[in-house]
Amino acid sequence: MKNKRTVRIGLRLSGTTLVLCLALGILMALPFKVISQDSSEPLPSESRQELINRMSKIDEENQLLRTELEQSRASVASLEANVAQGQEASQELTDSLTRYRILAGLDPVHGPGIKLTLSEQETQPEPGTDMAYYLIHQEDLLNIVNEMRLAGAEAIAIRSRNRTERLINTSTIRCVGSLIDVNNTRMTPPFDIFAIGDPDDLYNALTMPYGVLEPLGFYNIQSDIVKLDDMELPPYGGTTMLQYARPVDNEEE
Amino acid sequence: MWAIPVLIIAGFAIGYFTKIPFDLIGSKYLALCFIALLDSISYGLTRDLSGQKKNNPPIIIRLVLGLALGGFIIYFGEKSGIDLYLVALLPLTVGFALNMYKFLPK
Repeated sequence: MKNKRTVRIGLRLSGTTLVLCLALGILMALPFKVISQDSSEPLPSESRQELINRMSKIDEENQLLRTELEQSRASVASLEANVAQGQEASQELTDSLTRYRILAGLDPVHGPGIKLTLSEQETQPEPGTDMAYYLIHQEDLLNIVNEMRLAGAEAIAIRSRNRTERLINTSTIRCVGSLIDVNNTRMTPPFDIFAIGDPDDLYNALTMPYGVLEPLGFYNIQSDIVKLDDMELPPYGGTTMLQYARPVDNEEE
Repeated sequence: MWAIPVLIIAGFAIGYFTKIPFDLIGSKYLALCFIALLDSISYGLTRDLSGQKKNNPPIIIRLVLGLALGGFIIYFGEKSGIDLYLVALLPLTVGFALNMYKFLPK
């Protein structure tokens, strides 16, 4: 009786139920597959699920942080490159500006060079000789300065008493009566002419035979040259204004 | 009746030896499917054995309803931060238990 009922039950099962049984078997196999793939010890279902959720969240956060890190690194690299370019450009500009200010005489400079002292001596000129020959004239100073520049002087200044005038490209040296006007400053002998450059070259240029100092000796104008290892020259004290000269725009050409 | 364990074992073999993509992140839904299938199978057994198939709704309706309702509850729980996972499984488990209760000898 019992066996008959079992057979009857088996025959009465609908196809849907059988299909669901098959699906249940497949479903039951899935966790075992995952556990067998994981060599680690299987965890309880709930804690494993929590760990998986946490791990997936951490993975997402990690990915976001990595993206942010990449962006931050790129940003830092870009900023460093900009700063480096700016610093290099700024350094180049500063160096160029300093150089041109020194060449223009607008900055105080120091370095080796010579100090030439010109002084007039009290002499009694021979009768019939003009007293003017025994005085220091603008030509004398101009010749000396010119010779110094030819010998490689990079900065020149003339001192008389307590006034020191730095010579620049627009400096003027001309006689005003018995005085000499340097950069619109009246000066009287003795003159100290400072030149920064190679001391030997400067010395040799000034003292060479038939040089600029030799004629002065004929008129009892004493010149003393001292080589200096280091000296400081003040900047040009006047104003430099460009009223007519304009830079040439290359693009318009 | 012998077909039930045979089919379950066959399905287990199919599932184990075939490459079915499965992610552990969906294990809650897998558990829901498992319980819903147990409930539906037990319901199908009682329905088939009662001899009144026309008076009871189809098995697939019970399965789909169980999956949909349980899935919605789990999804809503995950999105809202409330763990409704066990709440979703509870009615299916109770249904399964009640269906199996009918097989107990009286």
